[in-house]
Amino acid sequence: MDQAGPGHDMLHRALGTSWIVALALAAAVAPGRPRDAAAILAGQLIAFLHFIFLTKIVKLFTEGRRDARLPLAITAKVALVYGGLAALIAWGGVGYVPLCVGFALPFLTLFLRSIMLALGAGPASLTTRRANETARSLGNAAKPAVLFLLLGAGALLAFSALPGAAVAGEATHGAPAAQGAPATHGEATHGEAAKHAEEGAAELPNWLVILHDFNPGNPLVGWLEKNQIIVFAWIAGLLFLLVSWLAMRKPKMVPGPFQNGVEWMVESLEDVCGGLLGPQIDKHFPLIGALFFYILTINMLGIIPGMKSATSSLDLTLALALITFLYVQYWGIRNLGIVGYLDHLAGSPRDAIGWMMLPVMLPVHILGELAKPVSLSCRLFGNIFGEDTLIVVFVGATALLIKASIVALAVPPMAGITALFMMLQTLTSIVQALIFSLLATVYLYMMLPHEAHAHEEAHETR
Amino acid sequence: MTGKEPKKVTGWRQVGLLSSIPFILALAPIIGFVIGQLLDRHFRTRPWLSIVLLVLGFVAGVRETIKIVKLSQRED
Repeated sequence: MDQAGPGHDMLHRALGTSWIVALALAAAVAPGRPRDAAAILAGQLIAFLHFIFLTKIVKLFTEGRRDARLPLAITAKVALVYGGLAALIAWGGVGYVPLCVGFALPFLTLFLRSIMLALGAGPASLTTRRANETARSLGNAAKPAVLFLLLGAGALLAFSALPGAAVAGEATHGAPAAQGAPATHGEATHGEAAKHAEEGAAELPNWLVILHDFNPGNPLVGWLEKNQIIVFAWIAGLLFLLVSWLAMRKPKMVPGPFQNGVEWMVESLEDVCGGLLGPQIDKHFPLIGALFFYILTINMLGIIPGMKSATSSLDLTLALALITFLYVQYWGIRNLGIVGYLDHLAGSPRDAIGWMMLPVMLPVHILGELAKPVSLSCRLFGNIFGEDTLIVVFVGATALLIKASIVALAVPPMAGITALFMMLQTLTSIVQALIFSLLATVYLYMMLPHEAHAHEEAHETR
Repeated sequence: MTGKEPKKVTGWRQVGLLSSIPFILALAPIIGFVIGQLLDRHFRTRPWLSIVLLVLGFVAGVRETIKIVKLSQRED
């Protein structure tokens, strides 16, 4: 069986979709900004070439065919992709933002594709025939998704282009300030409201912002508003503890519905992670389970009006990833011993060539180890922040249309779309929490001594 | 876990692993560049360490990608 088949199929479909989105975006901005349209297409082309060459390199590596084609593919990739990118930046004729947008499109579509595959197919293997069939049926599901993406991008462009966008920002964020500010507060209040309006539709107002707008002089409220990520992370933590305590304060052999529900969730997660870690799951489940339920609580908190997802801040997601990173490294040192751990970091050199490559392999290993937790945090942050921003854009657009007295046109479809995104947020909150904890398990698995893994490492060093 | 058959999670694991590839590919060179900038500032070697670590970051990204692809293809 061709193992790479379904993966290739997914990649090619994602690349095709990204071309459609890039062409649509370029066509949308071309009349006003032809250079930006060209930059989007240039970014898309470079990212496309990047994936094509990467596929070749990974295929040659994984199939063990290290012939003349491998250095040729690497050289061509470096020259065309990095050389092209460097030449475009050095030229300075294209804008960075549209170039980055074009470059990010294939990455985004690939990510959306993989998530859609997960949601559509459930936990089905990518290497099975069923996945192929699902991928085909998902082609139909992909079309409305792309349509929504284009609609969102169009709304974003239209929203940013409209001269009254700041008014919408004020309507969504600064409105409580405008209503709640007595005339006596004068310039300080006006400054706060202006600041919020300037921030525009970055986020919907939460109860801390509203409280601060009503009490601008209170130092405690000011501190809470300034550190709202910490406050919402505390609230989520306390909520998580409260639910755990309520469920398990009087555990019964024949559990009630609440205890049963919580036990079912914990056991399901333990089963999922245990499928990977095996008997070692008992030792590591407290951290993995805490990560899952904590992230889930934080994500779900953002759906409640007036609350905010603390995971929409990179600070918190980086902190969670740092905990995972330190935990994995600690268990690596504990299992392999300090010498074994350093040997693992150095790429297990066993011959003269291995020792000669040590100065190269050591930083490569360290960078690889660092990239894993940072990728975890960036993905979680990007998803939650993106969802929050999408909801804000649609709420803002609704406010703008209400301002223009097009209420009948604005409210029903916009409210529907916002509700749709909220449902999507619920779903991705669970998926992101699951993926974060599953990947933490995978990184742990890669660090723990494991027969198959050890065999593979030995094979790699040969 | 005792006495229970663990659930097969190949699909979810593959989704998690494969969707982390774009992030790792993009972030490994960025991390290398940032560390290189810090080291360059410390040792006054600008821009050499940044360039070297940027290139090593690209290598690390591709290496991790290959590891992830291999891991995602495993059935256990």
